[in-house]
Amino acid sequence: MTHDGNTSYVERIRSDTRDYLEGILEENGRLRRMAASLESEVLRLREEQVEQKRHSLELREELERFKSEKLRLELELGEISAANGRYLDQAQVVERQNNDLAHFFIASDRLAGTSDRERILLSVEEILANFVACEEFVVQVGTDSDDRRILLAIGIDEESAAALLKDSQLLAEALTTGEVVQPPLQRTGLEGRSIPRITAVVPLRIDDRMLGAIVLFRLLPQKTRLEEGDLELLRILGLHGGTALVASGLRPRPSIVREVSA
Amino acid sequence: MLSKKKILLVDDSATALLMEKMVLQREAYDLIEARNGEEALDKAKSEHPDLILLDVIMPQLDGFQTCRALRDHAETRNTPVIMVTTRGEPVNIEKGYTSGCTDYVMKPIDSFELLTKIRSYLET
Repeated sequence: MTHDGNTSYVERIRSDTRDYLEGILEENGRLRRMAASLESEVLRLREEQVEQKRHSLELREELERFKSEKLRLELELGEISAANGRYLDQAQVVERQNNDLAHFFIASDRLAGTSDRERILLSVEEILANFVACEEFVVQVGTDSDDRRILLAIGIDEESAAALLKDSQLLAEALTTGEVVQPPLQRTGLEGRSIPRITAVVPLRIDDRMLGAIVLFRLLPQKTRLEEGDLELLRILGLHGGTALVASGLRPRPSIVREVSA
Repeated sequence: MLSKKKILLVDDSATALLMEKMVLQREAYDLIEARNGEEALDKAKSEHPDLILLDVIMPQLDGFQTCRALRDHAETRNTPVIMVTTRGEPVNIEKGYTSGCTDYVMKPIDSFELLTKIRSYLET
C-alpha cells in the first residue's frame, strides 16, 4: 500500500469512528432524555398514588361519618316510632273518653227531650243496646218486693227476671245506697255457658228518692265487662231516667219511696 | 275545591244515628240519614253517597237484605258499605260479607276504629 492509500484508510477510519461516536453520543442523548422522561413519569405516578391514598382515606372517613349518621337516624327513627306509638295510644284513650262524653250527652238529651213514657223506655233500650252493649235488661219500678212491676223487659221474659230479682241482694243494695251496683264475680253454668245473672243494678232515682231500678243481665258477646265510662253512663241513666219517668206521669207512692241511707 | 264526601247513615235507632252523626261531624263529611232499609235504598240511588254505614238489625228489611239489594243495583254496586253489627260472632260476620258488605264495626261503636275505616275507604 502506498502512502496515499494509508492516508485515506486512516481518514476513513477517523470518519467512521467520528460517525460512530456521534451516533453513540446521539443515542446517549436520546437515552438520557428517555431516562429523564421516565423519572418524571415515576415522580408523577408517585404523586398520584399519594393523592389516591389521601382520597381513599377521605372516602373512608366519609363512609364512617355516613355510618354514624345512619345509626343516629335509625335511633331517632326508633324514638319517633315509639313516640308515635305513645301518641296513638293517647289518641285512642282521648277518643274513648270523647266517646264516653258523647254517650253521656246523648243519653241526657234523649231522656230530657220527652215526657212520653214509651219514648223514654225506647231511649233507655237504645242507650243500653248501642252504648253499653247489653242485650238483656229490665226496667222495674217499685222498691218494695210486693210493689214492684216491670215496665220493660228486653231479651229476658218478665217471669224469669222477676224470679232473679225476688230476693236479690244486689237490688236491695242499689236501692239502699242509690249507687250502681255490680256483683264481684262471673258465674258460669255447668256447661260453661253463663247463666242469666245480674251484671249491674242501676237505681232509678229522682234527687235522693228511689223509684225502682234498671237491671242489666247479659251483655253482648263482644263486651266482656262494664268499663268506667259505662258505669258513669248508667249512673246518668238512672238519674235522668228516673226524672223522665216521673215527668211522664209515673208517681212514686209514698210507701215505695226509699231514701238513700246516710 | 274538592267536594265533601257523602255518607249515608242507616239505622232505625235515633240514639245510634245521633252518636254516628256526632262522631262523623268532626270530619268534613256530608251526612244523610235513613231510618230503614227501604229508605236507605231510595236515598242511596238519589243521593249517590260515597259510603254507607248500615245497621244490621232493622225491622222489615234488615241490613243483610238491604246490602244485597244495594249490590244488585249498578249505581250502588261499588259503594263501600260498612255494616254496624250488634253481634260479633263469626257466623254473623260471614253473613255480612256474603251479603256484600265491605267491612263491619261492632256496637258499641269505637269512634277511633270507625273514623279510621271510613278514611281508608274514602281516601283511596
